[in-house]
Amino acid sequence: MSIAFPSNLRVPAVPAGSPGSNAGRPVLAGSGLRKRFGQNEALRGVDVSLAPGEIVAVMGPSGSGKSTLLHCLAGILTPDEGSVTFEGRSIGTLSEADRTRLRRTAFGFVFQFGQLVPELSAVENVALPLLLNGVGRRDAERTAAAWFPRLGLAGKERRRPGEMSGGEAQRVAVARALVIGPSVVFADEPTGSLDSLAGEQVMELFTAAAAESGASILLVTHEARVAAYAHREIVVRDGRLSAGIA
Amino acid sequence: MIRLGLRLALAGGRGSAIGVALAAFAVALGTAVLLFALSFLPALEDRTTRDAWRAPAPAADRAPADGSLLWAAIGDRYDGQPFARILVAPLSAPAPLPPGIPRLPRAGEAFVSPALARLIASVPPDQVGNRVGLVAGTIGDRALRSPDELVAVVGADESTLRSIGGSIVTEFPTGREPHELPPLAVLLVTLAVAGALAPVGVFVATATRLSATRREQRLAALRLVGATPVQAIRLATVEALLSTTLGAVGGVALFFLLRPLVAQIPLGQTTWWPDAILPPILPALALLAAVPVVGVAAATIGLRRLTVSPLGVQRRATPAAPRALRIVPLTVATGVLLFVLAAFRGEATSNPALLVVVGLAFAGVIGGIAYAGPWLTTLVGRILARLPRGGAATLLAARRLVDDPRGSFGAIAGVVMAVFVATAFLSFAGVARVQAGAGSSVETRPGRVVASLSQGAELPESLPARLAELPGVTGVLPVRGAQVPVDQSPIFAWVAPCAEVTTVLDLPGLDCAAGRILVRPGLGGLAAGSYTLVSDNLPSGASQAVTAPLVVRARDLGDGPASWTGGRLPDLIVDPALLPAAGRSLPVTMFYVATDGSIAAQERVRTAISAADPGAWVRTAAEQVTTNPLYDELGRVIVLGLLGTMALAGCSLAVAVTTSIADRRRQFALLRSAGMPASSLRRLVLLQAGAPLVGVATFSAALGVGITQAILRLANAQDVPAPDLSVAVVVVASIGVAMLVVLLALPLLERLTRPETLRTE
Repeated sequence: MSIAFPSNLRVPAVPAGSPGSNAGRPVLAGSGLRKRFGQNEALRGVDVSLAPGEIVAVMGPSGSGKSTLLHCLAGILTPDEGSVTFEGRSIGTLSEADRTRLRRTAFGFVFQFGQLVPELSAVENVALPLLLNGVGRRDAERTAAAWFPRLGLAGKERRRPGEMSGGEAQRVAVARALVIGPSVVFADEPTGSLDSLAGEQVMELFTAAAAESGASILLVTHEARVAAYAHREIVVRDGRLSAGIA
Repeated sequence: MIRLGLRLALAGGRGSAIGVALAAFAVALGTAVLLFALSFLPALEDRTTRDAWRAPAPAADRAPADGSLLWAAIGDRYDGQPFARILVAPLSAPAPLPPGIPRLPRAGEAFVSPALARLIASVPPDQVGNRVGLVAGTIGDRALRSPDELVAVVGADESTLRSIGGSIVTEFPTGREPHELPPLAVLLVTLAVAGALAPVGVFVATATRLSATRREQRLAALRLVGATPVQAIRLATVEALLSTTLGAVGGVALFFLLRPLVAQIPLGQTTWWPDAILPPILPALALLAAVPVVGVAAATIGLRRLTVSPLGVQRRATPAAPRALRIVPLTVATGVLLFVLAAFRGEATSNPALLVVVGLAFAGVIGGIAYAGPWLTTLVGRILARLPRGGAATLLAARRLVDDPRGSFGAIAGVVMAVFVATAFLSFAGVARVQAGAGSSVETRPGRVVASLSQGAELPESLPARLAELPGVTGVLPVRGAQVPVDQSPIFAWVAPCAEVTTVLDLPGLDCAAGRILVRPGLGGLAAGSYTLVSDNLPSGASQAVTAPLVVRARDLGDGPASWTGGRLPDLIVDPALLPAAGRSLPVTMFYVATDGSIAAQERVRTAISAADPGAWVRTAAEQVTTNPLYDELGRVIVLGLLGTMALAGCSLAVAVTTSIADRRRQFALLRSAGMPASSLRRLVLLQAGAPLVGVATFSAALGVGITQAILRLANAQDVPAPDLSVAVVVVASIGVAMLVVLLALPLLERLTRPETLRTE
């Protein structure tokens, strides 16, 4: 798969390899992250890093700051203090347009619900990031269609999100996140709206596909069963990391 | 349930309150427009009733009778404005008294309307005051068509009135009179009202939609916790009743608030009494009662999905695409319209029943466009989706158009309707301009004043000299009009010195050396021989017209120039020197006076001629050009209406785009968080509004032009002008303004869809 990346933002192809083998050079790192919303301090100095191909689960109770941490690391939110580096480069110094480009070309996202465009068919939803990167419609859809058998969705390319089950829709979202060959996939409660069986099915396919493409995953969840798919867990409580399980 | 409904509608934060307020405002606007529409014919009838006294039935017997007066109504003007000068002379006591004045004016004095009194006070008497004499008092409102009308009831002596052909009147009409608007004008107004209501309806629908999504979610949540469908409908009814009742009450308030402004819009060259703009009570009450009923019906029909399943608004499947059958009502309405006009060719605009059918069919065409709009939008979406170079924004916009053609068309429906109405009425306005007499002739050059003298007017010998001495006058041409009976059709002649004709009328190419009898081109050969000139003007008290012999010799005949066309120009211009001495005393029938073009000079001429001949018909060049100002005004009113319609359509579009962005903000924010640039989102929103706008608006513009051209030709309107560039200008300008409205919503798009807003979703 070849994607025309912007020339001023070079993201190297991520080699497949054992997770954490390149632990000395994290693909993504946050250091001393603090974020406040009014009176509420959501993050109170968090340090976290993600090695190439590594899956890290961020756990914690509701309102603990898990999603805020994910948003800061993904460049969606700007931390009040601390820095986020991607491939050794601080994303805090990037302009909004460059951060948008970074998210489009190097990151993938899977959210709990509502991320698929209801008007588009499944294959068009998957092709969307490629189209945004300037790939032609036909090529984009051909590339997107290749993901369907890998995620157990063969034959469902032309279905609309409203015509699919929750598990199927999440697998389409996974395909969409991986289709550009991202370095990091951010997943915020990806199985939160699914039953346990469908959730496990999604996670198995998700982690396998990510491993195959060499992408790291930052996985926010409050379910231990889901966190079990990660190589490493971190727990956030009251905006701080409370413990880490290797 | 009522209390809960009110709480849900009002206590839902600023968004809910704005939704209710906007819906109420839209309903108020629609109600006010309908109240004005209902008031139109009663206001017209009020006018004709107020001035019915100016057209009394003349007594059959011309001999003086008990309780009678002599009466003559002169259609005078001041600076283009109609000025009714009514000359009265009592014949026997007690003479009938016109309404609005306490007594009949004595000879030399007058009762005048307040507007005329102000005018007399503001300009020198030789420009207007001398036409009425001493002002004895003012005329009451009940005898005036409008507050700005110029009217004078002038006391005259019996001999003057007899000399200008005054009639004997024994009573003045009282009671309600039907309006006197020409059928074509009624057709125009009917269609204009039908056209104006469409964008109002779209605005109401759009404003109601503003809070619909939130309401649906709210009611779905209630359904999920066990509310029955009936309870959900009741809650929706309370909310709809709240906004529509507020809107109906607000509409009445808006009507009374706007009434003084609407009363300033002239029709028939006068404005309106604000009090006269009042709808008939029963239809008005029916309308006010219908507004909440329709509002509730619309709200509950909208909840149909919800009442079937609480999940109806939470899950989406591919909706059924609009079918091509949607074009059928439009085709049928257009067919009916054209059939009625073709079958009753020429009669449709004079038969009230047919006029109603035409109005309904026209409304049907507008409704047909609204119904066919989603299908046309789907077509546009499909074409857009097939564009080979379309990127993500194009794909998303195309799919959205195909997926939600009703919603997408709803956003632009106001503009589409406005474009249809605009292009349709541009054709009507073109006819109005032609009807208004836009064609000019040499005698209507700026600054000219023409006076047709009354039959038997005895003018002072010195009048031409006095006119020539008036400040601003540059030439005076007294014309002795006459007929030359030749075969079946008479030839019209002016006995006037060619040099003066040249000076005053400036007829291009007129060569006085060509002959002493100049012949209009196209008249054909005038054979040499002996003829008789017969004056057009029968002297007062005379039973026979004045005649003069005219000997035409071949050597005296000369050709007039090609510019010699139209207006009151004669077939022959005869040198007075050719007539014997007795013939030169043919009475003066007309004056042409050249002035410097100032209002003062022209009104001085008019006042001097009116003083010499109270029954003279005097018009300035500008008044000649606009021979029927009603259509000119209708054209202006239509343009004014179009601006209002466009403004409403713009509001609808703004509300629809804003609502659409607000409804999809999570989806957009997710796309942006996944790396979709804001520029792509902007392109998406612009394409989603712009593509169907261009496609459907162009279709409706073509339909508007085609239908009105057909209507006008079938209605036997004369001189129907072909559509010109103005139609294209209106279409492009409308689309441009609409896109500007969408552009104004883009900062909101930027703000609402920032990825960081996801944490609050």
